[in-house]
Amino acid sequence: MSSGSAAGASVVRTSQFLSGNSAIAHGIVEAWCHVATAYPGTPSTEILEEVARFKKLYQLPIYVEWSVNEKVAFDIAYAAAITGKRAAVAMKQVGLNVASDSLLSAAYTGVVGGLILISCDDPGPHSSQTEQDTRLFSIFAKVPVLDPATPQEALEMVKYAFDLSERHRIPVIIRPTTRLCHGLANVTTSTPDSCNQKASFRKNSARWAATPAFRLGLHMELEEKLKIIRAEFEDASFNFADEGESPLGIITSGVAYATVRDILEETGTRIPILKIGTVHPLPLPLVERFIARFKKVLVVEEPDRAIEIQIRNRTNVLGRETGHVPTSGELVPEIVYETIRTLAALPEQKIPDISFKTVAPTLCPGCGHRSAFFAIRKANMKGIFPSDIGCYTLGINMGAVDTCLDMGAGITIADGISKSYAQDGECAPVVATIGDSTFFHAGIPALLNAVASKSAFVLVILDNDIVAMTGHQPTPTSGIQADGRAVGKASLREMVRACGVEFIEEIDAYEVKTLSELVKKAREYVRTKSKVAVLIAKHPCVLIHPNEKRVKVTVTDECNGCEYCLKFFECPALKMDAVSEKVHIDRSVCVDCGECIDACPTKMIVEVR
Amino acid sequence: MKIVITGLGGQGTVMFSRILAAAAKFQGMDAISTETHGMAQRGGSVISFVKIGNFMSPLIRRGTADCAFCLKESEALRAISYLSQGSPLFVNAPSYSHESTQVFSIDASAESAKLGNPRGANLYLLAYAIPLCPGLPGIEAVREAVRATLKKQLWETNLALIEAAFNNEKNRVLRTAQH
Repeated sequence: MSSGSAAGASVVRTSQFLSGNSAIAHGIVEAWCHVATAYPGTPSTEILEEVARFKKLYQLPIYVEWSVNEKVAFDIAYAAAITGKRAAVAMKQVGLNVASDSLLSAAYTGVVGGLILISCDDPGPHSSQTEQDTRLFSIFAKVPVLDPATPQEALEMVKYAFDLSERHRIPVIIRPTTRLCHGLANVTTSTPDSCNQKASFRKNSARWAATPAFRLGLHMELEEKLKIIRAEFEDASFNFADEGESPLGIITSGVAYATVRDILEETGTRIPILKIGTVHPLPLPLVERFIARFKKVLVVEEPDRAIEIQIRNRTNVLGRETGHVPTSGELVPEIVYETIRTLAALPEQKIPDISFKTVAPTLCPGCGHRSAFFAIRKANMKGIFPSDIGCYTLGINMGAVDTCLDMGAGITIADGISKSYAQDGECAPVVATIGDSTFFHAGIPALLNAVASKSAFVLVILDNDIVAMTGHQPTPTSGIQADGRAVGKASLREMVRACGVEFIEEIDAYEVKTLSELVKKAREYVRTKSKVAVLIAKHPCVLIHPNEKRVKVTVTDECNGCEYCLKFFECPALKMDAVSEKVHIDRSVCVDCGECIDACPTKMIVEVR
Repeated sequence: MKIVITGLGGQGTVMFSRILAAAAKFQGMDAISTETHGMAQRGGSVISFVKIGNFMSPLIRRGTADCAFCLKESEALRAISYLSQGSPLFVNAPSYSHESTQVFSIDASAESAKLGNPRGANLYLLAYAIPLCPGLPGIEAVREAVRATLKKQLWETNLALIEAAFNNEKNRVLRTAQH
């Protein structure tokens, strides 16, 4: 398999102020990666966007794609890798759960061209359903995982990972966290290398199509690979230990290492650190030699214990298992400082005794989802509202979101709740919501199941024609891909019909009165026919397509301050004036959509002509 | 130099921190920063950190920031919770104060609107603060940063804004008082 720079090309190194995601993307193009796939998900989204930008900037032939979900994204990258090309797939940590079926099997089959999977953890969590640790997942999946501490290191690790993956024919995971993904620093980058790898799928059904009989042999081979990689990691440059004597040592990785280092520098404290970049398979002799130097060793890592649990003899090891490090929440500097302070002589922290409130995010003014939720609640005040992942999850502020488990669960939970009540002879007042992109990601099997098991509930698909929350990426109905090229388009309505749904109505989400009537009609259909009814409430995202029609509104003096509009319509442009005790329109926020006119039960919000 | 910036999603905390970091670079200093993305953008509270100097982590420990900027008065307390004793807060508000620390309050929104550039409030606040906070990058570095970060058609109006803020009457009075 050929590799290496184009003959005679000189490498130009520059320093750029880049985010961790940008640095990772630059590493991908520097390492002559041929294929890059992803599904949007904070904090990983910018990785593929930056690869697409570098593709254009450097005129590279790399293939970039927003796939329909993370499993599909992984499979495409894996497939490119088994034809001998380098491939990368990026996702957030919960997306790894979706791709896991393929990852676990791929660890057994191995790869030919290098395959790297970037899975971004979110300690906090800032915008995720879990604080799960991709490094623990890697131990379970039996693949190596690298834990970068800085954007520069993330770039270097990408290049190292491709090489590691190829030499040992194994997928390799890179695990950045939110603060690295969205942190910016000066990064030294090199001109992207070029390499004309040709696709070549060499048949070997005993490997690529391995049936259970062959899987044992592949498993044994995998365990051998991990042993060899563990030994190799002893000398990896991403692991290094400070010299020096001390009663206490610290083992740390990732952003936690950066935080620990800054705290020790800032306080002039000398505690030797063992920084680990290759978290699994953990280079045990290196770690054990370090531990032997000290009376006690503190392990500082997040969001869970991946290094800590791999250490065999933990008699003198302190960490999450011993209660020295909190088991949930982000390891912000104040917490890391206190953790070290209980074990070493650091001065007391001087934290201002100030409590403050933060503003929760809300749907944008003019968002079609707000109108849709308002209409749904109006038609069904005592309803049960299973919902899903996207901008529309913010409908929770309007009392219109009762469940949010994971991608596609808006439909499956609607299905399950309906069945549970139906068993008792009751028709539960379920009106579920899901976004268009989420529907394509995971909702289709869910809807098929509902029809194929004669479940009965109302589903409203909120179609804003984009993946909005993550920064406006295209969907399967957009007809456009990550690099701007034109592609085929699916039809949402026909997909719903193809699932076997007979009651389908489409409407502009802004038509609150009509949508409300349709919800009632759909509920009646569900009650009488015991079948699923689907409404498609369409309105493009106003951040991308501002409304052409402007409807200027005002609140009349007769407003009685009942706050119905604030509670059930919840537009950030509607504000309560503490002095007059009346609601007024904040003109700096209002986008003149006019939707709030229907939000006042006594008609005090009127159009200004 | 550790700087905290608070505001609401969509107000420009990201752009503010990038200009600061770019200005630091023009003065030959290393910078590292972090931003809030995603959920918080929908009008929710956001916070950015900019650290100028030899730092590895982009996070700032509560009670250790050297300077804070607050782009929306409602987010001031959060900014103050990061400040070290006696460090200044620059807030976009007509007259905000807090007993725990030195507050420079300027209605940057009104001032920049007067100059026909209502969206320039953040830059106005930054330029206003430059002469009042010695650890921040110099005004020339901020000008360079604006040229490096914004599109060419936006240079003239924003550089004029910086001049106005830097030469603001209130600012000059404060500067004289400092010396």
